[in-house]
Amino acid sequence: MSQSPLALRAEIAALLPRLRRFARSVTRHREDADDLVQIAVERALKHLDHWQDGTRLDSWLFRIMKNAWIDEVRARGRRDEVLAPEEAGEHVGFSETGSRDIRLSIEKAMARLPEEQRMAVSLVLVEGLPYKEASEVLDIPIGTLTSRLARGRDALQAMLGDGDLTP
Amino acid sequence: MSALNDHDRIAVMAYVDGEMPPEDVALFEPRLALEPALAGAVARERALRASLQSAYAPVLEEPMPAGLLDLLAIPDAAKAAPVHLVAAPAPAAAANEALPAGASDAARAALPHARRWAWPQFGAMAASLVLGLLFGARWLAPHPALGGDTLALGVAPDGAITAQGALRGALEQDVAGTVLDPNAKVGVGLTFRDHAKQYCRTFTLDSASSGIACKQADGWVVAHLEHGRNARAGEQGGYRTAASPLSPTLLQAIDAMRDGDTLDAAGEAAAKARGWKP
Repeated sequence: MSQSPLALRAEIAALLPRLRRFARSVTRHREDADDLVQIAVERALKHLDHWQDGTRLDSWLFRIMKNAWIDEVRARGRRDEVLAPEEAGEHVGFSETGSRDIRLSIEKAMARLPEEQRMAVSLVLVEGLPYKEASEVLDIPIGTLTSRLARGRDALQAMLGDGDLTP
Repeated sequence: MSALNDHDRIAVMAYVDGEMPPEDVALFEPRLALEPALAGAVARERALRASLQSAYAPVLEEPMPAGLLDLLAIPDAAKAAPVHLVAAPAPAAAANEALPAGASDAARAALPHARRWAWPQFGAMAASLVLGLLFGARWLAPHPALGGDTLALGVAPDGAITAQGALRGALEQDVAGTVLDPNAKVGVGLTFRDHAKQYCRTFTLDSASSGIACKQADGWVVAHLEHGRNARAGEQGGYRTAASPLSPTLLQAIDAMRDGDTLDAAGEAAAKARGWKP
């Protein structure tokens, strides 16, 4: 399949579930997350010609989303911080099956992380991006990425405690 | 983690994230058996990774908002595909009753349990888009950017879904008793002729996806496709072939399409010898 607009649109559609997942951890809020995905996909469609063949489409979209979120937060003028982390954690995805308590506590812990650490953790530990890809998504050197990852992980481990991590 | 120095903390992270160069892994792994603090840190990081992934996994399964789908609608591909997509999160009780090929009434009775997505309901969306949403990118023609190598379904310029790669190979080559690769996830089940005398064959893509493809001049065109936890029913006996337990909706589709009985082994071999031409 070439990168005709139709094929690219289909590939973007196939990535929608992952885009929503990343957005959920970035925004910590279901509706905000879908709004963010919407904005990012609109931007991507407007600039399909900017995507370079041979590079990862998911990384490109994550990067657009990250930039869109930064714009959004700026536009809101810190409205982001009005949401209490406790409340924010309640909005993250639920499953009917199993270990809901653990899930909630993990999402609450994620919600309390500083945004830059949360994005790094989400891209590498949840989305499984290689460091190089994640650092490009975030426009930071790899060394900065790894230090954000380290701080984010330490904070999560501290918040969750060892016991909570074994479902 | 507190017992480790900075160098080891970074090493644990790189190791768990798969970012450690092989030569370093060769030095690092033997240390795990000797240094409990290091092994413990690796275990904790792995547990954190697993917990994060399971915490966010449900988001992948949530229904897609219509607004997002509309964004990616592709105007010109609306009319083409005569494909009937069925997403079937059917209740286990209904879907697990294996049905005889003739039991279309019973199959129909099971239908209300399945969410049926007929093509027109999708309006302007391209076949590939819907496939992507239903099946993930796994079975789609791989985009170079995704690094995929699995390929089973493609989308023709006119919007029709076509069999590719492993699926096309199985449809062309596999006949009863001579399955080429018993470990392949892709399998072929029944063969029959439709009202246009074209050969059609049922197939499975994985434990949850199955369908019917018919041989046309330019290849195998997918005429029916369904996906869902119970799309492959009949695990406990009843009518089925060894390779492909068939769901009620698939059986009903076969009944609606077929002209005459399903082919036996000799019939399949003869049809294959003719290149599956009508």
